Amino acid sequence: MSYYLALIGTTDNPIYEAEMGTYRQGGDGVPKFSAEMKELNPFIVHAAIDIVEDVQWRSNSLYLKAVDEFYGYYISAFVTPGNIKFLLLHETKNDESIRQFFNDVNDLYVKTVLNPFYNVNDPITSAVFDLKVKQLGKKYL
Amino acid sequence: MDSNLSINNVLFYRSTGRDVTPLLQTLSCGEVGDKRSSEECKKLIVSAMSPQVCVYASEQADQVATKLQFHSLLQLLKPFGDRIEHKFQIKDSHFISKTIDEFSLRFVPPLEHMLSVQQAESGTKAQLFNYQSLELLMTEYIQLVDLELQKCGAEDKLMKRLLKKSIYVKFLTKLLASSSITSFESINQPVASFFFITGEESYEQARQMLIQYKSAKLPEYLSIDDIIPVFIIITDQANADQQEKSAQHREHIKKQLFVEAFVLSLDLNSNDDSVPSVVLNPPILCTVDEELQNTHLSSTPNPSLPTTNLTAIYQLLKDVIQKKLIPFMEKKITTWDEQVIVPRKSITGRLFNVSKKYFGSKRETNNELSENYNSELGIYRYNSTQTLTKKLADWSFMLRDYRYSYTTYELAKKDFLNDKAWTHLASASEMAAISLLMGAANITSKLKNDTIDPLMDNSNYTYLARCGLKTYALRSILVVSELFCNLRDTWSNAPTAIKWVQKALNDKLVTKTGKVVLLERIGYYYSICISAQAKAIMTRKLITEKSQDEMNDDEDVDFVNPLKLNIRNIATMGNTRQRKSALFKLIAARNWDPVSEPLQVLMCLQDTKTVYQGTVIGEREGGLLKRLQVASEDKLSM
Repeated sequence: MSYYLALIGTTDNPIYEAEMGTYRQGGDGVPKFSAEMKELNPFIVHAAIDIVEDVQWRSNSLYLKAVDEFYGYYISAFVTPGNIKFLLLHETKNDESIRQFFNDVNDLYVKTVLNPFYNVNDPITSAVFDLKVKQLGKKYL
Repeated sequence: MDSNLSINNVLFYRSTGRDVTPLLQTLSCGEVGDKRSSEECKKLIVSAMSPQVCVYASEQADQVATKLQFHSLLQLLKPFGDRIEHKFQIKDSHFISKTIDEFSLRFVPPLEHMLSVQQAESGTKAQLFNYQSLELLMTEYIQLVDLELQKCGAEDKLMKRLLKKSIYVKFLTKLLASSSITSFESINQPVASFFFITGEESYEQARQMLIQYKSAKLPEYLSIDDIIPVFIIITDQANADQQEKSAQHREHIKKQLFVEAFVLSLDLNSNDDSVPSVVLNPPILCTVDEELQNTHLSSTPNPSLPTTNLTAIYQLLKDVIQKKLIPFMEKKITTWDEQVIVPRKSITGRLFNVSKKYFGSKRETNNELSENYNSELGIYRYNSTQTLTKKLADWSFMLRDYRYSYTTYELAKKDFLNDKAWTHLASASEMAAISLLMGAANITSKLKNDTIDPLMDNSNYTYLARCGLKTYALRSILVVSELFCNLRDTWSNAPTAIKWVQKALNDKLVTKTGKVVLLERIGYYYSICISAQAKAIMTRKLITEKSQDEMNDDEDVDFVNPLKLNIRNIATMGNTRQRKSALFKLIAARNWDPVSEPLQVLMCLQDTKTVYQGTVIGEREGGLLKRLQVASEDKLSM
């Protein structure tokens, strides 16, 4: 199973992207998207923003569960109070662990925003952030 | 010809130098969520479900057509059937009269001829069309469109969009235009037969034609009595003697053969250019095979007719429809209604049914199932209640009494389900859904979820799984999707259309070109999927933006905080599906072949520009969008 995570800024700009594979069920943590799917991933997630913008006003919680579907792939969404969208493309529905994953990524994101040299909507280039997200992926996904 | 231009013939207009501004104007007004394309498709659907008319021509009558540079009389007539503008009066099932502005007829070859061709081609299980032929036709059409696109300058944006749009319309038309006769689709069974003879021919010849026609062997599900014969006598306008003779003829035919006859006086002798003449449009509703034949074997590419003949033929068709065809259909509808519907709905009829159900012996109930239905061939006899009910529904559909046709289809459906007559059931469910959508300006979500969706599910499943009729399933899906998008509230209805088209794609009901065309169509459906408030806001914004450009007021702001976030579309956020639309356009672009159709790729990408331009994923080097763009631009510049 493969995952594609994107944090989307307020102007639809991706501030962080990552592809991850699962370690569950004998997986080796390497994403196995087909070539066709790989190049389309950012666009699919981008299209899901339409749905997120529709759904986000109707829910009290930050985690919106699986909002969209595209040919057997689900897109789960999490919207931070600052309207940064965390979108995860995945193959099987797994609400609870994705919720925990998003919550922990949110913690990491908040820590990034606390950095006085970081402006909202800037791409996150920190290697530590990347490493920690991957670790979270290993833990939950 | 008539002032009405059809998007189907846009290539033809370009080649003959016709002015297509009216068509362009429909594109130019930049309305938000413009769904005019769907409205055009609805018109097309209405005319494709119009009465079918068989054309029988005597040898001499065909010669007249040859003289006017046509292969046959059928070819001459065909373009006229597409759209006949006149205030036609139609009475519905409650005898309330209503007026419709236009009517269509589908002219087809003689019945025996069609049946034999069909038999030779595919045996009994007839698909609507051959996938390979359609693919070939579409590929050729797209090549022609590409040529035209190359001729367009950079500033002809509207023209380009029009050409692009015509591809889908062509595809849909070809699906709709099939005239194959089957037992389960009575909408494709002829309603009238027109016999064309000339004034020169004797009464005896006319009689022979009719006898031959009446004695022809028809399949069990067709009855010659349900097809109205009409004689049309062609005379020469200049020849007074002949005209007199034909008037006599007409009376004779009426009195002796009890068949209505009309006289059509044409100008047959003016072959010179002094007479004003009009180039005929190619017929819109011709089948895939016919169109292929026309493009490959055409001897006279653009036949033209003198204006006088044109008006004469239109006048004749108007007369025949108003005086003969519509009254005949109305009369039959009333008769059948009394014959099959009233007994079922009456109290005695119901009691009888119930008593039969509970008190009848077992043998009888078994018999009841197979009484009318021949399960081996899958047909009902022409005089069975079921056939008549279905036909009644179809005919009232053709006369645009959609409410009545819906209830009748529902009645027919019950019978078909009882008899396990799958093809009939699928067709009846499909038509029931179509009549519901046809008649409504808007539908409630309850009606959609509880009635239309199950109907469509049922018909689609039955077509595919039980009957293996892919083409029918595809056609019903596209028709219903277009009709859904025609409803007023596109915000809730376009997703349903998208769902169905995606199902068609998932079930692989289309070939390569069809797939791309449908992907583009999904993109269009998403683009019209806008909630009512958002539409109002965006339209207002569009107007104010225009006026602001003119005023060009520049406010002086002393201090601008560069870090302040501005949110662009707070009012319409979440109420549009523009990004989705762009995604499907992009996927369509990827499915076009950048080597052979670079122009199509670029046009698809052009449509995504409003969404992707300036964004990170759109501008990313090596990203899908850039890759496609570069590949097709390279190909073009080569």
